[in-house]
Amino acid sequence: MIRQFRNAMLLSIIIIVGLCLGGCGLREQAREVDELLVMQTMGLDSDPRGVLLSLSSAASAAPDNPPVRLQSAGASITTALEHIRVGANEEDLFCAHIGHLLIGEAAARKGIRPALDYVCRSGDLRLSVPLYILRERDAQEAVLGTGDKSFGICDALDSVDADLRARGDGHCASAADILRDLERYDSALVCAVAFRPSAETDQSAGAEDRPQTVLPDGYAVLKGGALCGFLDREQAVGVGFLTGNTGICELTVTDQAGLPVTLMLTGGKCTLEPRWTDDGRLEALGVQVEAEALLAEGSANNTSLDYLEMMLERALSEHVRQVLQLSKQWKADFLGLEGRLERLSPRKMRALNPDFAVRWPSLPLTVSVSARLTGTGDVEDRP
Amino acid sequence: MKCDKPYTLGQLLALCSVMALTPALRLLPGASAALAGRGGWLSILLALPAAVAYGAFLWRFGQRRREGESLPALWQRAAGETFGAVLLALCGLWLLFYAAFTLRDSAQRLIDTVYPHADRRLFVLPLGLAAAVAGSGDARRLVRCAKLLLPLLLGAVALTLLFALPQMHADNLLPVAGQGARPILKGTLPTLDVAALVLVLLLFLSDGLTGEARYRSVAGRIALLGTLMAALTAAVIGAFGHELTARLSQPYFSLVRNLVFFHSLERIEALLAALWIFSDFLLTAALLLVARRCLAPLCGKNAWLPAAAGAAALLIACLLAPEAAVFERLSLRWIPVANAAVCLLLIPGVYALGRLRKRL
Repeated sequence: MIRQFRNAMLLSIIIIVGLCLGGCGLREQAREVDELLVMQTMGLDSDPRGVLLSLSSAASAAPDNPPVRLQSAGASITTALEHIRVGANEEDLFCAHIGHLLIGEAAARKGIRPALDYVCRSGDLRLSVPLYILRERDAQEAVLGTGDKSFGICDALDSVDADLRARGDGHCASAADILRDLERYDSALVCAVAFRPSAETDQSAGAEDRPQTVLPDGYAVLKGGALCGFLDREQAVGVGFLTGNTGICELTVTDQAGLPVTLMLTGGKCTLEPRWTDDGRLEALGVQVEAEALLAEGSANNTSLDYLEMMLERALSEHVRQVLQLSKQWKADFLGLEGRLERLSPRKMRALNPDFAVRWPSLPLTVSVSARLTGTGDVEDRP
Repeated sequence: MKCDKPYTLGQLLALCSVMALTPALRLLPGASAALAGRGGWLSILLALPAAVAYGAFLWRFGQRRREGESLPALWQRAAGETFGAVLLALCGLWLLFYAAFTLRDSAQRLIDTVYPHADRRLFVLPLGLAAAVAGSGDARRLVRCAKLLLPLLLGAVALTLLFALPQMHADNLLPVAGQGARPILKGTLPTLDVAALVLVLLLFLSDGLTGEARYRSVAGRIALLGTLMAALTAAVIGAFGHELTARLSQPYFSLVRNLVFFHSLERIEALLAALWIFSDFLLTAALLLVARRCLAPLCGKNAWLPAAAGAAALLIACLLAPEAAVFERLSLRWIPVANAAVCLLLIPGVYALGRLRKRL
């Protein structure tokens, strides 16, 4: 009886203590979920004080309830965020659901290591957060200026992300991907976006009044953690083949009559063929690209399909060569060719002397492209 | 001195499995990736035969017990009454320190993953008190508790592994041949360290075993847990690459933070980190219990020993490595070395001494 009473008392004490340790009711800073201001996009720029931080929430489903946009500067991201917390007359900021990180070109040229370091150390941000570099602009312009009352930067970047998932001329790399590539190859590819007028038009407004938005615009290339250049959208098609991220994308060539024909690339692959000397040196590298495409627009009656295939091969070859040339010129293996060669010949790559990074800028390359038109839509064009 | 309340080998293995999760998560993904590169997952699998062999040695040592004899008594028989008691006390002090370190580690995990600005003592004190109370009693409470918790914890690991699959890239895991054998072999050290600690605890706790107990079951459990940890490490390295995994202090929880379940549920790292407290609790309690048994021959049957052991562990945990960087160095460098010294030198040394003295 005494034992049962003692157990009951012990259980009661445990329950009471457990209830007190809930952590919500006793703390002054306890916050209700509906009082939180959930920020979803973070913009980073360089500033004389250190960092210029811009934040935006997503647009609310309710009409006339535009996204909340906040901005402050500080010596670091953390201090800038604290300045926003203190200075904004908003509800409690909640940054655990930041889904996009946008960096202005000027800040990226100075280096994005501090931003990546912040993502690594932050208890709020995820390593899977996609990172973008805004071409020719500061991130604050896009974060504060994208959209209107009905949409904001979060919706625009969500759209970029969804669009690029299916396409072959871009890829949203996460902070983890970029960190890994910087550690492994000392260079990385980041999704580049441009700040341009939106395609949405308002009948009552002129073309110049169209809201601004962000659109995918190829890749930014990082070397040693800092931006060293951009690859445009056509070169990004070449990147897609070289990195194995082939997806759907369009390519326009001309037929024999000089008229434009749009081909839809639907897939393909790239094979590397290293040539080794007997003493284990990497002598040359062969790059073989195979592409498949559909005839999307333009009459094939003006020309033979073989001619279109040849034009496609020529265009693709040019893009692939340009990308490889830039990689050599910048001495940046942003395509991860070293990793691919390591998978092909692990022992030879391990014994490679001098290592690939040193050898790459002067390595002779041969590029061959073979393209095949696998369909012409619902029209019988082949003569 | 046999334990008053016996338990089966299955129950004890459940306890050891739960206890292993704490040091495994602390060391394996990060340290294995740092030492073995992208072959970190493979090094865990390669360490398993050595872990099974070490376990077989300890099992054989434990079987030298006479009817009704406890392991501390066997230890004293092997090394001599006084010298044995001193060596036992040395081992007990190490286990006591490890209990304090486990408390500190638990606090650091919660600080890193959920409460970045919190005071470590906020976590050390309640967990330490609970573990001291549990560790002052009989091991049977712990094994029964572990039996309940094991499916929960393993289920959580399996679920996260399943949802981590889409994030894994084969490029991050293969090839391992290019690195050579040496890094892979070095990468086995963290696994062996974790296995050695848990197997030593199993040896001491096997005093309370009842019924038929075969080493085959222990070996099977080592293989199962090792495979699970290799899969977990592969998931982390596959998602982040070995370079980034080696840099992160809590790589598994960083992976969990990235997971999205059915496009609706995300950010469950706080829940997972909270679940791991159960593993910390059982490991700390078991360490305190075994430490108390090791100290008993030297200190005598004092009623204050459990309370003193708990208080000492709490005090050390509160004072241990206030800076995170110091704690990380301690965690990755000094603790594994000291643990290896106790598990691979002290205990085999006692066995060898017993054989030399023809007492075993």
